[in-house]
Amino acid sequence: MRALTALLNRLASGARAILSKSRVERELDAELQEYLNTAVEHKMASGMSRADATRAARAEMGSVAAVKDHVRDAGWESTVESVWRDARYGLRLLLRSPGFTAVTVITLALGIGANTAVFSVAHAVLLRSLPYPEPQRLVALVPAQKSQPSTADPISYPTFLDWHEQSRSIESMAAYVVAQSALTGLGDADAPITVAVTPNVFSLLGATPLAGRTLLPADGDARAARAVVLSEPFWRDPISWGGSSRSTVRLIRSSASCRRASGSPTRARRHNCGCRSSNSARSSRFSPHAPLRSCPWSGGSSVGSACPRRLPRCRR
Amino acid sequence: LARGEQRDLVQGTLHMLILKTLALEPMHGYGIGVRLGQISQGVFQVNAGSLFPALRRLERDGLIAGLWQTTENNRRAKYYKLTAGGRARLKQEAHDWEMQAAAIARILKVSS
Repeated sequence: MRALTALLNRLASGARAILSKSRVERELDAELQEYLNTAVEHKMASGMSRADATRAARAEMGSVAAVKDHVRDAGWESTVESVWRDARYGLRLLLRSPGFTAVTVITLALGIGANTAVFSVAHAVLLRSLPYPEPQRLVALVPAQKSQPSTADPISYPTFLDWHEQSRSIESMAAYVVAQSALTGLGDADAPITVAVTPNVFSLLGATPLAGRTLLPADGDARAARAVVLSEPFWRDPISWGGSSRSTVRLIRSSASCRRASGSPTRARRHNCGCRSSNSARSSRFSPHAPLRSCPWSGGSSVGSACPRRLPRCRR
Repeated sequence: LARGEQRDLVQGTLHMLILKTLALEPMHGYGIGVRLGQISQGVFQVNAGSLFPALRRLERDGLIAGLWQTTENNRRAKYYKLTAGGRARLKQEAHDWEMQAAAIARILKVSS
């Protein structure tokens, strides 16, 4: 409490000194002059002549300017003043050589900009955790070759099954492959990014649907009808649906033959799910920001792509 | 004043000595310097370059208060007097100093 009071006192008197600088200076001048006068009188009282006493008093006191400097340095406001002086001096120097200033400013701007960009990437890629529950437990498994450790080849579905069965340190395993599909049947065709996944990917990530359901184990059966999970942005985007909520659209692999998807409305609704990860605004490798199809793991080949994919109507 | 015996003040003690001097009676800057020299029998000579910054700091911290008054020679001088905070600080610093000085004295007696 006492320290706080002292601090406040110091701040207040420093501020007063800045605001009433000339008065404080005048007072100090008067005080020092009086000090000198008293010293002279004191020495004259002990028998010196006025001239000798004045000389001796001045010699004892030293430079008045130096004393005033010392006194000014006792308060924080002198630091503020000198910083302000330095800043103004620096500014004047910079204005005097605009070329140098421009180069400096540009260099700084580029440096800071590059740093910010690199850090943004590092933050997004390395530091920010994935938008799922317990992200520290999520790992990516890739096959590594001793000869080319940096390349990660796709794995086949049987390999995935082997991993799944033989792994002891992984609680649950899901596989995915990213592909681009063609979306037709409504206005302009579109080519959304799709991710073919094993059905357990949603439960593994702890992602729950906003509407409908996510994939069931049965959806992974090769004979099962293809089920699609839509991302929330895709679902909400009217362009995706050509402005119509009663449309049937077809989602096909670009190279595959296609058939028009059909189905009763109820059945359709059952397949139509909006899915959102725990934070839909942040996409990540697994974030279903594109339509998802469940299908047997195809390892990137087009096995099964001739099947019709049902992407039923969407009702808002 | 015995010039040969003059010593620099132990670091940090000037504030305490000024507070002690002002505890006796309000004084102006020159008076404080003279009084310190007298009481210490010339061992401590405080020049203006040390005295006035110290006074400024003590005033800033609210330990002393300055007031312009007429001197006996009918001039105006800034007299300083101890505040309540200054009195408390003096008491505490004097106590600390006595403890330290006694401890140092004991150590020196042992080692000599």
